[in-house]
Amino acid sequence: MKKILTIALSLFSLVALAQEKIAVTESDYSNSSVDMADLMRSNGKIYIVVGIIVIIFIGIVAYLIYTDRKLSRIEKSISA
Amino acid sequence: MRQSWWKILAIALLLYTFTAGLLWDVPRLPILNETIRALYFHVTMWFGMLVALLISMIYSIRYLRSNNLKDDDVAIEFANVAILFGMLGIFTGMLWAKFAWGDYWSGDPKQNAAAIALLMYFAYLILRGSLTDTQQRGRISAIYNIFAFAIYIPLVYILPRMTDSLHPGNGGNPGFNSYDTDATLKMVFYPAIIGWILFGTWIATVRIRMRRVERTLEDRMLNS
Repeated sequence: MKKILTIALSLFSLVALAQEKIAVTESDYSNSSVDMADLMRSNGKIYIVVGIIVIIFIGIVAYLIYTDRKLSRIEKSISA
Repeated sequence: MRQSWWKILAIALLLYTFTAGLLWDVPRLPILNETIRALYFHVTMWFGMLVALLISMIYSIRYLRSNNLKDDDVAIEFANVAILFGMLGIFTGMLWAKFAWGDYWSGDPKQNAAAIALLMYFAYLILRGSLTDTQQRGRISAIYNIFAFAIYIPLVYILPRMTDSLHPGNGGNPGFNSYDTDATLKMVFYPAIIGWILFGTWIATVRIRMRRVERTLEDRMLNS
């Protein structure tokens, strides 16, 4: 009982400490007072950046797959 | 192809991270602005490092019990991946800090702790490099690795939270409250964590297999 009470109280104290902070709310998504990359989005240019990142990632993954396969071949050849 | 489903999952989760992470709605918060998206990339690096170090430590214990160099291979290569994630975490953090906190390095408790943690694991690599006997290297570095992990956890995840830090999460565990993230952020954040962990595991397994092939070839040279 004492243990449960201690755990409950310590959890409560963590929550109480966290009260000093400001929670993220729905209104944080709709305000227009904070600058975001809205212009970039309206131009459509952000998609180009995303595309570039995805191409680079696919390239790296293709290289990793190639290395993985090559290693599998070597493993097969030395076990034979 | 039979055992590669998790590699495909890693690619899918990271593709989702890059697209949804850059395009989806995020809270419009002052100072942070769009840099809040770094949550999906900078913070996930540390989750990747933590999991890789945990696996490395487990295999160090296994090595001490088994004396099988195959366990030592896993320990060193997961430590290597952890160090890679840690370095990427430090550098991405410095860039983010320059624009969110005003300086690349503010001597923040968590920044300093992360730097010390990296130095600790550099020492692990140097320790390994300085021993030539494989069994001796395995044993001594395994013990070092276990102690390093035991220090790493309080150093990076507990001590910085007990003092004032620029990082979120002081005065408790950020996992217990909803003040730094919300449901929309977590929709990308959690898959990103899993994606990066799986991707790091993939890189580690390729390098572990490389080590084993090398050892087999060396043994053959010695025996022939």
